[in-house]
Amino acid sequence: MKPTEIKERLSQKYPGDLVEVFDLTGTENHYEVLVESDLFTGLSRIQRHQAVMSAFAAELKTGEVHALSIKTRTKGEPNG
Amino acid sequence: MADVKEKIDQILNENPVVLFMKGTAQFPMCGFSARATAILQDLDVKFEGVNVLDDPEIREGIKAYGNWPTIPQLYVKKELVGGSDIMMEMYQAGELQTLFKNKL
Repeated sequence: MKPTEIKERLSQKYPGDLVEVFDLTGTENHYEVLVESDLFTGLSRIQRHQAVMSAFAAELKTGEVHALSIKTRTKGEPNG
Repeated sequence: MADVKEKIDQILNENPVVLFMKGTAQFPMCGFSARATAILQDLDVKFEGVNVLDDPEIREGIKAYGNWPTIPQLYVKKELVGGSDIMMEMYQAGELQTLFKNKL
């Protein structure tokens, strides 16, 4: 899956929010993503990660996306 | 699938800390599993490592079990804590230490 497709998918789910995508290995299957969205407000870490991963359910299943490292924060949170 | 769920239930019932991982604690077969193992070892937490590469049923079953599509997965007292990212975040924030102290 191309980095641009990852970014597009996340931007559809989190419209107008900051989305960054890093191809960790240059092989288009190990990614790190950062999403900053107020849609995460009130969600636990687990729920946030589940929400982000659900956008790639099919690709994680087939292994097209082998690894997805996730960082999430709301606009008020400094890091995470 | 019912059988897999029972098998996972049993593992979680018998072990307070379970890491579903690729490879073993001695020989992790994936960087994320290695990182998860290193965190637990650093905290000196005794855990049961379940090598999903040895059991394709559990490998698929555990993903549905906790609605979590990737490996590794850490369970403490039958509850899904998260994958290696969450473990690292919690470890750095000191929250993982607190969780083990309170739950074990």
